[in-house]
Amino acid sequence: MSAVLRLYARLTRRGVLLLALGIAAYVLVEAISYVQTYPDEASRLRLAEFGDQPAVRMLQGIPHAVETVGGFVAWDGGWFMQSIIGVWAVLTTSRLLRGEEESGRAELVGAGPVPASQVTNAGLLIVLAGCVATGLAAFAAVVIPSGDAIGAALFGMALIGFGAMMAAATAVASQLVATRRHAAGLGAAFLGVAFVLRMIANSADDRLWVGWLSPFGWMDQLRPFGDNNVGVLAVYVVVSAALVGIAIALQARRDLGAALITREGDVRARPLLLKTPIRFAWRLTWGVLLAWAVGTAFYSFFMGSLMKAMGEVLADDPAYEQYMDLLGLTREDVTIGMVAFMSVIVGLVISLYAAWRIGAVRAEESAERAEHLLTRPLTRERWLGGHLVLALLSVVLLVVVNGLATWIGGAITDAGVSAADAVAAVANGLPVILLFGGLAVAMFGLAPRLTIAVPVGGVVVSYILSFIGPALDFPGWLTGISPFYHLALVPVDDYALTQGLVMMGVAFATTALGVVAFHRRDLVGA
Amino acid sequence: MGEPAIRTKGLTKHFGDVVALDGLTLEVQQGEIFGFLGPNGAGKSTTIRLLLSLIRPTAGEAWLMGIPIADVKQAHPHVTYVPGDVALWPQLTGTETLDLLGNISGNVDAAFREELVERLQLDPSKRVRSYSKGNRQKIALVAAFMTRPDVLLLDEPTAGLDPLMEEIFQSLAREATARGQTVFLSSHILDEVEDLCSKVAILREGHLVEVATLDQLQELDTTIFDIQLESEGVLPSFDDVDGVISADANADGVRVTVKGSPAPLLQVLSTLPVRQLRTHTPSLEEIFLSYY
Repeated sequence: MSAVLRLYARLTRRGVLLLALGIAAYVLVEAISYVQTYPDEASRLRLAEFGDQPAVRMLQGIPHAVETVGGFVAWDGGWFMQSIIGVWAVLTTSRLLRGEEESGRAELVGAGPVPASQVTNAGLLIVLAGCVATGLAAFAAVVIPSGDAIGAALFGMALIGFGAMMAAATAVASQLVATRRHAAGLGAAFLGVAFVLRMIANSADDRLWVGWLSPFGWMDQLRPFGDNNVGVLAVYVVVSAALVGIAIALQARRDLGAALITREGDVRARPLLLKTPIRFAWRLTWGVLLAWAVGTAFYSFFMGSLMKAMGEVLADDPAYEQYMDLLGLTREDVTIGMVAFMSVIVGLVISLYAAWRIGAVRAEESAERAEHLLTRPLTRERWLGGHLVLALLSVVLLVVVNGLATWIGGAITDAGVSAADAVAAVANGLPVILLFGGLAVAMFGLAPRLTIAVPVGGVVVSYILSFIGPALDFPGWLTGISPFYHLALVPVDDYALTQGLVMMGVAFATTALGVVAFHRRDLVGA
Repeated sequence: MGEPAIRTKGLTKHFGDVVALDGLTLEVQQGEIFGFLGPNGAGKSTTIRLLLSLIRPTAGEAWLMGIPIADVKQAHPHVTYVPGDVALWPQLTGTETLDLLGNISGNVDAAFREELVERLQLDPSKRVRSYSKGNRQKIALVAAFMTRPDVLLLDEPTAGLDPLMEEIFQSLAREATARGQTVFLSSHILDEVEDLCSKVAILREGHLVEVATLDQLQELDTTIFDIQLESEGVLPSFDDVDGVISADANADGVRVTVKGSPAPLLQVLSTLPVRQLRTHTPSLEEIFLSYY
């Protein structure tokens, strides 16, 4: 058992470190932006008015204790941090509890003296440990600016509870289906349903009881930094424990590698997209691309539908008016100003997609599947080139889809933002997206094992830098490292053409470097 | 005979400080089944991966059918490859995998592909995910043979196959060379090499230690004596007898390997109470072991 624990700890520790640091950084950014944007008591109290805005209520929840830093962090960012830790728990749990079996590696462990139920327990313990580390990081990050140890502790515990809950649900899913992809898919679907249930709950006062059905809703009931309803923590514990019990009971009824729901047997061959390596790359990727498009479009749509409401509340706020003056915005600009701000976040997410897409090329190499193609009359340049074309088209598709989703969200709330402006705002992020995509290609050529880690780390650090640099009066050259800092506020302002061209030039150069380096190096496994 | 199917000149590969292959110079003629022997880590896979440009040589050159190996577009239409551990796309079916690989290779004889699937008793309608190691290997074998390439580079291709399928693999390889194709077979299954290969190269720690036909290897004037003495006889040490390269006591007596003339050994034996004396030429396994 302890050997299995050590193995799983090794497999997950890097992800846990990234997760904990990411959450802590997110909390700090939220806290800093709060202090900057709402410097006085009056502006903070006005935030409670968001409780009357249906769109804001549905996404972020009803504001509680938003006159405190901690309460604001929990309200404004809580749902997003829960989503991040939830996604991590789903991915990691499905990997340890199903991926290891799917790959056959679990047979090595299963052949040892450790019973299967203990391997499941070990996996869940490791995921729980990761959640606890993340919760502690969140606690540490929020306790200093808020000075409220009890609130901070409850907030941290709610994050832990949410992660544990998602891990337990994914543990059940991992017993039901035979592949990690499907187990993670079920876990993600559970997360999505939970989020929608909470939106329904917060859409009107007489539906608030629905929130008890969703793990997302439990934080609303817990109200850290406000009412501090400690008893709600028991819900996380009881439900998670029950789900773990179900998972272990189900596991006892199946063989190693088998699942309770199977679709074995003959499958009709679909000769679709097998003709050329590039078409085949599309076949491998379209499902994931679709998921990214739907997921990000959902986010953009909601942000689009929030723009007007948020703009109106903020425009009445004298403190915020000063902030807008600083950015050269007038009252009329406030809604499209919101579009510009939100589109940068969409650009960040699409940058992550670009890094992931190049990482998928690396995965084909490290799993030694690429060898079947490259030992045939296919040059490495053509193979990689096909994937690059695919990555570029996917990114453009995501930009357009998100622009349109923002526009639709705005249109149904009469925000008065044109489709062209909405798409232009998201397209503003393209140079940054290409820059990080190019960085991923360079890493793929030069240090393939870092293909995803370096650009993803770069995206997160640069975004945080562009945010806290100006707030903390960092010297210009330091903040200027972040490509996000060089983006203009499109559609309020025109594109920053020079900066954009420079970034695209760098993206092109790093891509070329990556292609040349890939040509010269050895193929390497995992 | 024309161009050699495979030619290497001083082919060398370093991984950091580790020398995986050191100055391999080798020619494999067309129509041969060439056995490439060596224990794990001797550099067999490294050689094949170099020939396929999956990894780049530190030094040296190589040609496939006279074409420099780096010219993938020209060289690869002549070759196919079967790795020892076949990783495929789990979400595809066997048929889809063969379609994909065939489309990228070109030149697939559809009827021959069907024949191969049938002979190897492969069920291609299943998803690759549900295939065993042996079945994945069959897919790779069908894909390698179905284009009738000039050169087949096979890296321990039968590790997951049962003895019946091993038999079928051997007849496929023989039929291929009968058509003039060349089979380069890396293996440590010595029986397979002994049954199949006309010529053998032995590799040790990145160095080529021997290239010879199987007949030549077995005629390398080495003889093995299995000697049993009457119970009262005491076994002397044979180590200082001229020509003896090894003497190992076993349950029944002693096995003595002699290089060159056995006369000095026979002289010693004539003074002993020998009950039984058997001699034979060494098997490939015995030759192989004598190199390590």
